Amino acid sequence: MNVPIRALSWATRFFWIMVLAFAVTCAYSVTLVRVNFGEPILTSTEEDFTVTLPIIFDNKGYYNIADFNVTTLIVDYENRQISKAAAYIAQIPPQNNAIIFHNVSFNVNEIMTRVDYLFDDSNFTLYGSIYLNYANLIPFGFEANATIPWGAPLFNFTTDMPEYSAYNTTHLGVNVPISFQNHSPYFTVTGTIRIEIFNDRNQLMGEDTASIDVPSNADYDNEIGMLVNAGMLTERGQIRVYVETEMFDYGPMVINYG
Amino acid sequence: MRIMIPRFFKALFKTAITYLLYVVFSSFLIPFEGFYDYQALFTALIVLFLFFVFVIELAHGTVFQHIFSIANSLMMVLYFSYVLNTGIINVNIEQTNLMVDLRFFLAILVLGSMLGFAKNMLKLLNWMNEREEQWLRYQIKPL
Repeated sequence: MNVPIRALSWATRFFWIMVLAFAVTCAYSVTLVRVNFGEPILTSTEEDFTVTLPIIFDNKGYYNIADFNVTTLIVDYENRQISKAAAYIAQIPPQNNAIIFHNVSFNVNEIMTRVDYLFDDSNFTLYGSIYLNYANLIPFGFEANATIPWGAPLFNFTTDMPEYSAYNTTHLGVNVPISFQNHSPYFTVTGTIRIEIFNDRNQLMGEDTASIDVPSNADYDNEIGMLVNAGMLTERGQIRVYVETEMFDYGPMVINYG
Repeated sequence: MRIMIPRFFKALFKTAITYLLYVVFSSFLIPFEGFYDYQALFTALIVLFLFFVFVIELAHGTVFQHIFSIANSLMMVLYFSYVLNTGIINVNIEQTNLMVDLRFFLAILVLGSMLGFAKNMLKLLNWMNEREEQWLRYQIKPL
């Protein structure tokens, strides 16, 4: 009986030493893992706007990192998905590093179809998560969320009542005051504003286009003037405003006058 | 009394050495100090383990040594089984959440504790067997 007991004792001792050694080296190894973020790279096409974030994962520990998975999800205040991106690396061996390029794409046209994004400031929520399997034994996860402020590019867009002035016997000069603030911290509103004036018989009386170039956090306050046929002018009518920029097109915004 | 005093100091010495090992080991866990919720569970394990190291050494050479050893391994099995249910550690700090799934590792610890339990049971059986043999030898001698 003594021999099996002694064998079992040694086996137990060996087992606990191995477990303890693994636990200690594993805990120490984790402290040797370094994660750095590179400078984000911005690229844009006609439809998409992509932010590429390089993640440098330096595994100086003693154990393998498997199934490394980075996911980001951006949603708006109504929990509508704006962008979802994921990056995956199957293995990062010990004493090695890996660079992961995490591409977060935004479909500009899709975002700008939402009228409230154009006119109302808001907050988007960014959910980020990292999942990995440490030493092929210990699944590990990290989740974080952050709030991204969204500034409306056409915040407080206002069209005042048209002002008339005599031009000649047949025509009148019409000035339409337009103002807005570009609250977007991300882009300049560059493009044109087109105005069309209709009388109550829905006849186009006049139109004009003005170019705009409003940097981030700047105000736009201008009058767009045009000549209209005095004979077509009625007491009531409509002003239709179209905003066409590099990033988005919007219109017609219909304003009744009279 | 002459036997108990050196045994007491030996038990105290062994407990102190074990505690010292724990202090060295816990220094590796300093980066994980955020796991406050699990600190109480870990401390309870250490206190129980030190208690058993002390009483096992104090009861050396008696049946109680084996009984305490079995109790110790059984306690370990039960402890790790209990902790296994909560083996997914979640720590929330402000807007971040950290998750570590230790279930596989804890399952290994449960298996190890069961191995210790089996060994201690065998030791107890062997000890009782030897005592019986001694008694029989003592009984047979006068014949």
